[in-house]
Amino acid sequence: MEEREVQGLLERVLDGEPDRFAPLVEAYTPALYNLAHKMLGGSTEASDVVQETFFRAYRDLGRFDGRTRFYSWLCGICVNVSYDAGKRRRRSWEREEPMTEGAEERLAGNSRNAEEELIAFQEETKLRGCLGRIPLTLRAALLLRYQEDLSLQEVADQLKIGLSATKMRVQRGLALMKECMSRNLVGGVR
Amino acid sequence: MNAGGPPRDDLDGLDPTVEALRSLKKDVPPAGLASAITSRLAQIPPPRRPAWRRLWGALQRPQVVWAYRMAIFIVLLGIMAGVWRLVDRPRVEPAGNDAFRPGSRVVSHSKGPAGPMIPVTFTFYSPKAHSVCVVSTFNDWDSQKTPMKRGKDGTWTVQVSLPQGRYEYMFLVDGTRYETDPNALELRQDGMGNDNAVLRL
Repeated sequence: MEEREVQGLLERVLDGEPDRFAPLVEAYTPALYNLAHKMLGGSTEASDVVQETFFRAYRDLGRFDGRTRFYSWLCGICVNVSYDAGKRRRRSWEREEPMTEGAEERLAGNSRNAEEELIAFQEETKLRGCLGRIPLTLRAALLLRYQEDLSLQEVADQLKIGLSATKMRVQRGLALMKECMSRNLVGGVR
Repeated sequence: MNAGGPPRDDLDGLDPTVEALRSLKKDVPPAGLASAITSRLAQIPPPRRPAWRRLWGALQRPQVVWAYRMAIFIVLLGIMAGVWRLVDRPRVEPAGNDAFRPGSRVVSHSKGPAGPMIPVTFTFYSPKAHSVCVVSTFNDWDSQKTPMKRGKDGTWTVQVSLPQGRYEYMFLVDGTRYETDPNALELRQDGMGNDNAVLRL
């Protein structure tokens, strides 16, 4: 959705047409769900985070000044809600997505490349596992940057930190991810 | 969401971890999540702009903008009119000075039926004259229309009420000699070797 179109819808919502918010919810739910899911690793809780994100965005819409993209603003709220949810819960990522569960489905699919798929799936699961083990602040920086395609400046704005600090977080996050992927660490990475 | 592809920077390079993160499969929300959120939002009060933004928005409306442009224009006109009146205003002299300083004086303003009429007192010091009158554009240079009256100190005076405008005048002494007002603020040559006094009201 073009940013101009988004701004137009927001103006109409604030002008007394609350129904105009529905297309925005429709457009941004998948991206926010993806972000929340990867931040927390729990689909049920990710849904709650997305709901809470839209609730806060809708409630505070009057304070959105339009200087950033609406989508990046939503991502910032989503990260904050995820932080809150993450503090409440310290479950392991892998416990929720057992590596074997999906693998069995894939092997049962009679695909010609079942073995390659299995390897790819294991790699992805490992990546997700590592992502789930690095600190939330670093995870947020990596996800906003590489999953949600925000620019470094947008990431800095939404995390409310400086550009240098953002680069540091991204670099530190990548370093931890590499370390985790190479050693296949079990447990938290610090 | 991001037109033109994902933004790149010097941190990315050809880092396989970055590529792996970028290509990590998107997690798909459960069906009906967006609808459920929309339904929930419908139950809470709609958002409103903060008061200062509403006020600012109201001030930006075209009709309001025109209103305060007009107001500024009117105020500026008023200021210009005030300045003009200050600059071009005829001098107001105390009545007591008239006896010693010949010339034309505006002593007060009043409103007549045809607009504001301004009383003007003409004075001319000539103790030896037998008659003095004002001849002017306001009386068609007629020597009979505005005769002056002699005071004990030899000052001749007459008061007339005139509408706003520009007038040229002379004093006609003893019916033969034209004299220019020695205290006139402005003079204009009449083309016959004399200077007419000019009075602006």
